[in-house]
Amino acid sequence: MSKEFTGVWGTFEYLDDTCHAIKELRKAGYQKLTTHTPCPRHEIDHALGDPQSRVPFFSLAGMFVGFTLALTIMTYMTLDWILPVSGKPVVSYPIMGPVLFELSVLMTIYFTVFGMVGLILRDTFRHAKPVSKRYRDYDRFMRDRFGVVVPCTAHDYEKVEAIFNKFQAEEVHREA
Amino acid sequence: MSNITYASINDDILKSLEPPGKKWAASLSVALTMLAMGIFAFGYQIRHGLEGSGINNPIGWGVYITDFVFWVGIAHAGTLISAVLYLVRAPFRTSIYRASEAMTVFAVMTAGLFPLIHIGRVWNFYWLIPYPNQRLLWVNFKSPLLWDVFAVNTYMSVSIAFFLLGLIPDFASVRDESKGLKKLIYTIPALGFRGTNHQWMHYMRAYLIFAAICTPLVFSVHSIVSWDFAMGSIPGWHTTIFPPYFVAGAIFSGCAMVLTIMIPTRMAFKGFDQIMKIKDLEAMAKMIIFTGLVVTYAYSMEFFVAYYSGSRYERAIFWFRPFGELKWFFWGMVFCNCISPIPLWSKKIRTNIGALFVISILVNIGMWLERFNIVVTSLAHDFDPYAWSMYKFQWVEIWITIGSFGWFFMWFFLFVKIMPSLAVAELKEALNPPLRSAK
Amino acid sequence: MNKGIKRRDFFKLAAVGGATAAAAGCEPDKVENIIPMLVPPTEYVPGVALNFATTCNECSAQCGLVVRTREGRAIKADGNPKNPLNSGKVCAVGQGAMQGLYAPSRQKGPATQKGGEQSALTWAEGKKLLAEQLAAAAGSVVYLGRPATGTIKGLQSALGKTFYFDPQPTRAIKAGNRIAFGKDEIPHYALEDAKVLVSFGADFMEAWGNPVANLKGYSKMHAFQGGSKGKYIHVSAHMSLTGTNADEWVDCNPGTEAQVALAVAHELLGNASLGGGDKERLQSYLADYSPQAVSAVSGVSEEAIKALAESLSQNSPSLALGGGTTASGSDATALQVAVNLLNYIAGNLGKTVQFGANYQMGGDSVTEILSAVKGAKLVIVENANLVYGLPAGSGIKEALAKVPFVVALSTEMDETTALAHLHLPTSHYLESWGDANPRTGIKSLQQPVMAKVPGYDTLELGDLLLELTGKGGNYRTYLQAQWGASDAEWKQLLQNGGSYADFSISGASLSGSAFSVKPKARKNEGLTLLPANSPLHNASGTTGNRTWFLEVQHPVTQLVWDSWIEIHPETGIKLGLKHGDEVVAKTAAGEQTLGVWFWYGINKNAISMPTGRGRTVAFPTYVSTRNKSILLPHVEMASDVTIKGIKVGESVNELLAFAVDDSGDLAFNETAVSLTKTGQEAWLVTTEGMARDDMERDPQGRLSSEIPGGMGDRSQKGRGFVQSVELAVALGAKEAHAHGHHLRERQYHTDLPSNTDFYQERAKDVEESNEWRGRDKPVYYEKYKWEMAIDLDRCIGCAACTVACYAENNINIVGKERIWSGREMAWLRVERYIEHNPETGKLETYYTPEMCSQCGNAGCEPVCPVYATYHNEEGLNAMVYNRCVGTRYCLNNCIYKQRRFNWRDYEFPAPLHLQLNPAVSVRTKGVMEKCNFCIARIREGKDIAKDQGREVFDGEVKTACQQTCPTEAIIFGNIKDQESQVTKVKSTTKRGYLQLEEMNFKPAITYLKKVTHDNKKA
Repeated sequence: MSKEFTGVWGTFEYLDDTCHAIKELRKAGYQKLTTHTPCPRHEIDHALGDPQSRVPFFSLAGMFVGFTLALTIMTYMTLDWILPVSGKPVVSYPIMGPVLFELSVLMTIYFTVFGMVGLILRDTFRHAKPVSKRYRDYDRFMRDRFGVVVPCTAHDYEKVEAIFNKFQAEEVHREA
Repeated sequence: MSNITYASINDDILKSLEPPGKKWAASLSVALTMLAMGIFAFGYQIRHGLEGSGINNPIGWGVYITDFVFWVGIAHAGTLISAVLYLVRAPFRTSIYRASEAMTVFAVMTAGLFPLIHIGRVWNFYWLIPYPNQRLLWVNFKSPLLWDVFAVNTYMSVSIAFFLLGLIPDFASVRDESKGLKKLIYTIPALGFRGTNHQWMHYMRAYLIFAAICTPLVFSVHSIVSWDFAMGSIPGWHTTIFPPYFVAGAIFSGCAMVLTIMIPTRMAFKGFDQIMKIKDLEAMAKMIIFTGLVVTYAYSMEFFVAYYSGSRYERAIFWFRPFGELKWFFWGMVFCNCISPIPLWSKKIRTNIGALFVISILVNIGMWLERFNIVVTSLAHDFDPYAWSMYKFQWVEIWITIGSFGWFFMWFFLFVKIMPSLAVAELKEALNPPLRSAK
Repeated sequence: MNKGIKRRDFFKLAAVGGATAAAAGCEPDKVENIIPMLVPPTEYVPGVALNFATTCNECSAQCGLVVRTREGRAIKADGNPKNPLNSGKVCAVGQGAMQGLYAPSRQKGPATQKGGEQSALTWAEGKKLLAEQLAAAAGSVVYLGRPATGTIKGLQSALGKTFYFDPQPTRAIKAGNRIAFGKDEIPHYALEDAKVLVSFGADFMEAWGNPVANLKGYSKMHAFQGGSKGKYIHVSAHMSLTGTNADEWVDCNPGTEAQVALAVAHELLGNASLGGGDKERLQSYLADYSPQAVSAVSGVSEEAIKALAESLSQNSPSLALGGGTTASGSDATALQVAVNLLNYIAGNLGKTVQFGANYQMGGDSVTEILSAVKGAKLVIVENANLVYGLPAGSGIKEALAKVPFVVALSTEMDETTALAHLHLPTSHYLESWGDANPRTGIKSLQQPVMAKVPGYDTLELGDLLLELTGKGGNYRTYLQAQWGASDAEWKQLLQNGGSYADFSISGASLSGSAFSVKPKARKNEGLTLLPANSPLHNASGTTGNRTWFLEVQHPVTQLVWDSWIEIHPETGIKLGLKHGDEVVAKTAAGEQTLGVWFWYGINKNAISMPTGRGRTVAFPTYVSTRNKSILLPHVEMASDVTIKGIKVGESVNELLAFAVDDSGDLAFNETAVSLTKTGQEAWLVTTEGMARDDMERDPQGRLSSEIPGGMGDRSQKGRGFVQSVELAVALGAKEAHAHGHHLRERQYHTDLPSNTDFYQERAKDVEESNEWRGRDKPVYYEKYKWEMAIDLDRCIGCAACTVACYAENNINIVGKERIWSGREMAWLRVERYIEHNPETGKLETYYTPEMCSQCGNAGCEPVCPVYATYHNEEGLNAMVYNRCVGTRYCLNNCIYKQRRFNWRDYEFPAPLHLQLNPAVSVRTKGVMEKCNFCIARIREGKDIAKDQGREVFDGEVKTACQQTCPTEAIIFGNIKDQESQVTKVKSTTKRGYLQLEEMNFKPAITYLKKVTHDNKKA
């Protein structure tokens, strides 16, 4: 978070207040919001206009990678040193099933994790957040408080605060 | 649940992370002693060869493989509960899935040891892994054992990943709830999670995919384990019914193990019984009833098919199991797996903690016996009557089995003290959110 | 000569330096020249086996041996193909020569003995002491040796009055012939020419006469070939291995064989045409042996006797044999006379009974020996174990104790040498020069095959005797002089192992003295104890302390490391016994505690015990967990394992009452015995499966566990491992039963691709993969594909193959407890099945050698995760010990259960480890092993062929089991070679079948069905 942050952040005790506040803010043209919730709430997603995650694409890619990897190593290794066993063909496809599946799963999972982390970092960098100690040490977001962070310029402070207070935010802080 | 709020959940669950008491220390030391026995016996076995186990000439696999399948089976319930029940949004999932996932991870860690323990030259175990080596030797992908290597390792890494993924938000809440050094320690695994909408969005999607992938994985892994036998050529092993039969058995034993573990945990920490309600355990009991029926059906089918096949060898082995020299293992299995779950049909017993606990233990024993039956009796009575044999237990294998339980419980005891054993965030999700309109 | 180093010195260097061995072929004389070890001559190639022709001294038959040596160490005893006695074959006991040579019980050097204490001395002192004693005792010196037939006899008798001791009853045969035909000799019994063979108790496959020679003849006569098959009937109170191979067992009361023989003669006489008034005299002699009379005594039905006579008169020439321990009483001679009369009447004289051979078998009269010992001032004992071999009642121990000075020249420390005052160990006969004259025409040489076993300070018997008799010099030169052979001839002789000529048959006629002998009337109340031999042990007890013969299961009972009591189930049940109960056997001579083994093949008035057991064996003390808690640790530290002497089984001689036949043979079958139950269960260990219960019911509809007596059902439960076919069917003269023999026929009828199509397909597949990969190797089944055929009609189950396999492949000896827990290591085992014959309702015994079938479509190969076992270019199921991690999945998946796992590291008590075959790696703990068709020998054969720029020709490579098999039941070779015997047999035989064919494992071993006479067998 190198870049200077200016804006307002507030906390709410109630979910519905939070959602109304978010809607109001977005109507007022503040799109780059960051919210804090103790647990995932679909109400918030709706309020934010149901953004979609791109993680599944990573998973799909992982699946393909795993599958190809398995196919290659199995074919290569059996042909690298030909050791026939019983009546089976040297390169036999039916027996590849289990390993193909397992490796596909494995890769899918790895790609999903890395995709998730990557996407989260990307979004976090795109959305500025306060740097003040007050914000960083606020420890009730993971407990029972909802938070909304609105990046805005100094002359919008009153406007944003008004919206916060309208929905009875617990605390409202300016960050400059 | 009116009295439960977001805050109270945090308080209740995080209480379990307070410094341990004497009881905990005592139980941990018991586990460690058992583990020590196992390690000693294993050391002796490495030094002297496999003589200390009852495995003998026709019966190449015995207690070790039985233990392996047993623990893999246990491992399945965890993922199944967390994944499948997540997909179907089963309400009773949230309260038990964290602990059962932990159980999964530790059970796989235990199971993963046995293929190593049972091989003759454990110091060469890495030869089972296809790594580029100077001898240019590769592994044999035609061997079901190798499928096992892949299946079990995949399963282990996936379930560990799944487990930790679920823990991130809870680590975050622990971090926020705690001060000083503890805060510092939990900051690291929390990975800076603060419940922002971006984090939640991608997190939830990834979590969904995990669940979706783990579901087939669970089935595949135990099917592959069952192929160790089904791909074999000897009567009693060589049958197509094994994969579904094994998976059902795995869920069966898994659910039982969940109960065996959750009931004491629930008693150990106050406040848990508020969250982990009787009806959740009851749901587990229902799963046991269902899967119990499935395995019972599988048993009877095996007999029917053996009869219907007309194969002398098949018929012989299925005659041998109930009436042969090893019959007590069979009847023990029937009692534990088919008879003992019957009482659960009555709600009274289903909702009685004590009864549940006893039955869950019985089922665990029964499932061990089932695996022993499959592994040993088939080998003891296959094609060549001249080679038929008996199984004589030896101290080493018994000590190692004890050790495996020690290993498992050691991890579990550590887990309940350093990780929130209930899923904080998801429990909150399950609550009605704090709404002004609701007041 | 004196400047050159002696051959044995050279071999000492060789053994110590381990640097040399000579090229194939027997050229021992080379080493008489100086050989600079730094620059070994070209013919010494390390790693190449060197064979020496010599003579076997394990029993008095004295077959010719060829001993394989590697790097100056003898590793394997095979038969000498040039010697007509055994023509390349050798029995299990003969193989045991190796364990005799490397016996842990060997005396390390000269010593004086007092009350079990030894004090070592040098050879000089020893010889001096002996010389003094000889001088002192001049005139009354008695020399007790093991039967010798060669030049050495002269030296021995020059030393003192010489007797040879051999407990095997053979003198009666001579006596019988002297009395009946005036020929004091053991004739040549031409089994090969007989159409019908009747054995009155003679265990000719085990210890009667020369088993190897007998079996050679027997297989010629009895094996199905050229559309004919002789018949063999066994008349005896006990079925040992020999009996179980008969087509019919006539069960007679103990000791009544002679009467039965005479009764048969009585029947036969009717339409026999004999000249010279013999007929009349015989009629009067046989008058009181009418079938009625005899069947009353012998318990043999008149019909049976008549039938016997019938088959003898129908098929001429026939042959009757008599004797053997179980049939030799104090009237053993009478039995021989009876048999001789029978042969005479049947007109076999000169046909199947050929005088002139004069086999030099057996020892001297026991009575004479005893009286001589009693009078002697000095007794020299040389490899004659009288104290073990004679019943306690003989008083030999006391007699020896009374002798002022006893000198032992024996190689091993045994029961007798222990009583000696002075022990001067002579070299083992495989380290010494000597010769033998087993029968007229055969003179075989015995040459040292290696230097003295390191660490054993011994002298050759010949050299020692030369010195003691004052002749001096080197026995080898003495021998050559005696043979009167020039160096060139001598070399020739050594290479052939001796000189071989046929004997001329001399005529014989019945002499009147025959009628003076009559068998004793035997009263049969209570039980009679019958000491029985087997191919693994005989009365002389030489194999009693050799681990191979304890570890390899007894062919009939399949028991190991023990002695036991065989008893008829009915008798057992009458005595309130169960199979496997522990009983105390009590006789006038003593009592012993043993386990009972229910066996249908024994007379109801008799029990039988194995001979030659109850000796002390050196064996490592591995940790024992038997009868110990499975919850407490039983830890074995490396230091815990020491070599300790353990007594195996009990010696039957301690139970026998001492009685001697007129001929001087020991009487074996006259001791009355009583059994009392101890209430314990005996610890009888068998390699046979422990869990015998199965859904299969016997014809009486009983489950195995319901069969009274508790022996259960030892059949193959219809798995069709052994299959048999009726002679008429085999000849195509008759259709097989629609249902077949439900227990002995394969239940499935399969329609699978032939093995040939199968492996050609495989080869093609490999070829394609090579193309894909752009390589030209490996090429499958290019020149060789090794396959085997086993003719069950020839196999008699003698286990010689198993012993050969142990010797060739360094197979570990695991001991009783470990066999009990299913840890035996035998790569080749002879399985014994006891089948119910649904037609006769009788039990029948079948044998089949089982080893790895080298399946083309093996179950073991695909399941190995690390390719430790795979299919090699020559169709062998290769086992790569170094790659094996020991998952044991292959063992589980083998439908023949022919893989063995190393559950621990085993030890070979010194110096037995010197016998290990360097060509075969010794397996470590945790790896799987199994039969590989002696791949080391195949390798060797191919190397030789390569050097000579040709391919291996048929019969060049022989597996150890094939090489030793006395009946040539095992045929091995290259199936790609159209001319090879195995190809011919497989393509032509109508009896061939694959075991468990329906499993489609494509085994490389084809078994040929046993051929029975009208579906009957003993």
